[in-house]
Amino acid sequence: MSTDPDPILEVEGLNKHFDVKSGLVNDLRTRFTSAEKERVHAVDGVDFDLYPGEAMGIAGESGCGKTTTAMTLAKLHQPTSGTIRFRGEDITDLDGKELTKFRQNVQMIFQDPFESLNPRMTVYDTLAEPLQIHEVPNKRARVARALEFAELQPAEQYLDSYPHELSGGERQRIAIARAIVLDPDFIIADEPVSMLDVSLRAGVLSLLERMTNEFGLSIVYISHDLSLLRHMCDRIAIMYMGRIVEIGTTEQIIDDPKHPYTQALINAVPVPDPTTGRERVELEGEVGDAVHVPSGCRFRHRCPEVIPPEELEIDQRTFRGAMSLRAEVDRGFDAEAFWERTSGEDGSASEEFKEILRDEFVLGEPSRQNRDVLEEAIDLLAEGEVDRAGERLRERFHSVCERVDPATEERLDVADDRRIACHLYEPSGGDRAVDEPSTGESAPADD
Amino acid sequence: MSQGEGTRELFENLEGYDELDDVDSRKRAIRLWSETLSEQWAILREDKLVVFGVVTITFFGLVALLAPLLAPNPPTERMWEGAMIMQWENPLWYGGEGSYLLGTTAEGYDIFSQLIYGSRPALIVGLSAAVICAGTGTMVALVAGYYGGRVDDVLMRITDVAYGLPLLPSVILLVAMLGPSFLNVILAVCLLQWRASARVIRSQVLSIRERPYVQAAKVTGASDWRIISRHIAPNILPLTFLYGAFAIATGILTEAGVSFIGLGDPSQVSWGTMLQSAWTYNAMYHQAWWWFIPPGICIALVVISGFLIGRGYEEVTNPALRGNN
Repeated sequence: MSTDPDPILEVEGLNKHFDVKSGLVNDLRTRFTSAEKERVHAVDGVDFDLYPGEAMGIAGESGCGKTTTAMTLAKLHQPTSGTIRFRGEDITDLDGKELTKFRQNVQMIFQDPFESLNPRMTVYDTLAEPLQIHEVPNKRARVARALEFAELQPAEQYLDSYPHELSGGERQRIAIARAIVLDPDFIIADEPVSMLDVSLRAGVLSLLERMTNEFGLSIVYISHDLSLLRHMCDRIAIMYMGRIVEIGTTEQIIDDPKHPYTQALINAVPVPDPTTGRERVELEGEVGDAVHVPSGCRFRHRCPEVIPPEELEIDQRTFRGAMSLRAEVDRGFDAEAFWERTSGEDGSASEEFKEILRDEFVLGEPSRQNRDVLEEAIDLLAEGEVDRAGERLRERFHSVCERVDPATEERLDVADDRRIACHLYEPSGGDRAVDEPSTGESAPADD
Repeated sequence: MSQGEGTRELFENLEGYDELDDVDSRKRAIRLWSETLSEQWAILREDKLVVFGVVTITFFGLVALLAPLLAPNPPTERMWEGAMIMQWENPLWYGGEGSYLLGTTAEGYDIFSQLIYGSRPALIVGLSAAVICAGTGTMVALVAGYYGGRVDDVLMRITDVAYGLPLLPSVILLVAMLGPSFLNVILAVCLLQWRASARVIRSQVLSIRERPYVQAAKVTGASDWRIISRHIAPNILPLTFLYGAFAIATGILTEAGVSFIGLGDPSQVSWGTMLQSAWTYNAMYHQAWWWFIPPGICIALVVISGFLIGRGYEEVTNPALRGNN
C-alpha cells in the first residue's frame, strides 16, 4: 500500500480522553482542591494512514478504544489532541460550515440496525435527509439508485416503509444505502454485521466489499472478529488499551503475528480443523484500567513474554507471578482482602495467609534463589512490612516493559511496513534510547 | 483491490433516470400524514375506554361551547328576589316547585345552568394547562437534554426548585397575591406543573441523544435544530402527550380545589365554586345530594377521560405495547 500516491486520511498521535466524573459540584471540587481530574484514556496515541480504495481493519477486545477511534474519525468526538488530515487538509478542529462540508466525505455504518434508523422516519426520509442537508439535487433518483445498489429492489417498494416493517438484514442494507447516498470518500463500519443473523452476514459483507472494489471507496472496519477482518481487509491494526500495538498487511498480521497480544488474539480464533496443531496462548486477566494506565507497556500485566532483566535467570511464568505480586504491592497491597480469605482472626492465621499468597503469586518452577526472594517478601507482607517487601521485590524483579513505553515503530528485525509496539523487537530508527539498567561494567579505561 | 481510474461512479447518468424529484414531495407528505392519522385512529378506536374518553371530552366540549343555548337560566342570576333565604328549591322531579331540573342553590341560583356553565372553566383550565405544561416541559427537556453541560445544570436546578414547591399551597399563595382571577389559576398551575414532564422527558432525551440514528444524522452533517426537531422530538412525543393528559387532570383538580376554598374567580361559575357553596350551606347535612354530586361526577368524568386518552395514545405511539393486544 505504500506505493499509493497519497493517503486519503492521515491520523497522527490521536488522543481521546474522557473525564471520569463531571457535573457542577465535581467541577467546583476539583477546581478548589486542585485534585487531578481522573480521565479515561480511551484512545491514547493512535497513528495510521488510510489509502484510497483501501479496506483497513481495527481489531481488539471490547474496551480497547476501537469504537472511540471510529467515532473520533467521523468527528463525533472532538479529539483531545493529535491531528487528522483528510486529503492533506487538517480537519481536527473544523466546525460550523466547514465541518458540514467535510461530513459529505465521511459516513458511518453502525453495529445495530435496529437502533441506527429513526423509527419515525420512512426509508425515503432517512435516505433523503443527507441530500437535503447538503442540498444535492435529484434526490429521488439518488435514493433509488442507492437502494438498488444495496440490493433492495424494487426501490419504490421500500420508499414508504418504516424501519419496524423491515427485517434486520434489510435495515442494515438501508443503513449502507444511507452511507453511500452522498457518495463519500470513506466509510467507517463499526461491527457492521455482528448483530445480524449468520445467514445474512455473507450478503451484507459482499455488498460492503463491492463498495471498495467497484467504487473505490476507502473503508475502516471496526471489529473484534479477526476472521471477518481477514476476509475483508487489506491491512489490519490491533489495538490494546487505546494504542495500536501492531499494524501491517492482513497476511502479515494473520499469518505471522509478532506482538504477543496479536499472537494471543489470533490463537483465540477457532480453526475449522481441530487437529491443526497450534500453540495456544491464553491471556490471563482483563483489559487493564484505562484510568490509571500502567507505566511502560500497557500489555505487560497480561503479557506472556515480559522481558526479565538480562542477568536474571527465571522462567516466564514465575517472572510474571513475581511481577504481579510487585504490582499488587506497588498499588498499596490490600492486606485485608487476603486476610479475609483466611479462616482465622487477623494475625493468627499467618501460615494460611502466606499459603494464599503463594498460590496466587508463586507460579511455575522458581529456582531456589527466586523462591527465596519471593518467600522473604511474603513473610514481610504477613508481618505488615509492605514497603520493605516492595523493596525486596523491586531489587530482583524488574523489566524494561514496565519502564519504557514501546512506541509503535517499524522494527528492524521484522519485514517492511510493519509497525509493532513491543520491546521484543528492536526499533529500526535506533535512535530511541532504551533505558537499559546499568550493565554493571564500567567503561574500559582507554588510554 | 481495484481502484483509481478503473472504478465506476455510483451516481453517474442520473438525469435520464427519473424526473420526479421534489414535485410530488408535498403530495407525498400529505398522503403519509393522512395514512398515519387514519392508522392511529383505527388503533384508538379498538380500545373502548379511549372511545369513551374521547366521547366524554367531546360531549363536555360541546356543552361548554353551546352553554348559552343549553342552560335554561343565566348561572349567576337569582331565581327569586327578596331576602336571602336559607332554603332551596328541590329538583322538579323531587317535589320541587318551579321548573328547575336540579333545583336551586340556597342563594337562589339554578343548579343545572351552573353545571352547564361550569364546564367552561374546567375545560379551559384543563386544556391550556395541558398545552402549556407539556409544551414548556418538553422544550426545557429538549434543550437541557440535548445540549447538556452547563445548560442542563442550570435548567435542571430550576426544575428542582419547582419540585420543591408544594402544588396546592403555592397555587393558593400565587392566586392570593395576584388576585383571584381565572388566568391566574392557569398561570399558577402552569408555573408548577411543567416540572414533572421536564424531568422525565429530559432523561428520555439523554437516552435518545446517544442512539445510533442520532449519531448517524450527526455524521451526515445535520444541524442541532434538525436533530432536535426531526430525530429527538418525534420520539419523545408520546411522553409529551402522556404528560399533557396528566396536566389536564391536575389543572381541573387544582382549579376545583382553589375554587372550593374560595379563591376562584368570583365572576365565574365553576364546578369547584359549586362544591364550595354546597359546602358553605351544609348541603350534605341536609342531604341535598343533587347539589354537590353532579359537579363531582363531572369533574371525575373529565379527569378520567384525560387519563384514558393519554393511555390510549401511548399505545398508538409505542408499537411494542400494541403487540400485546
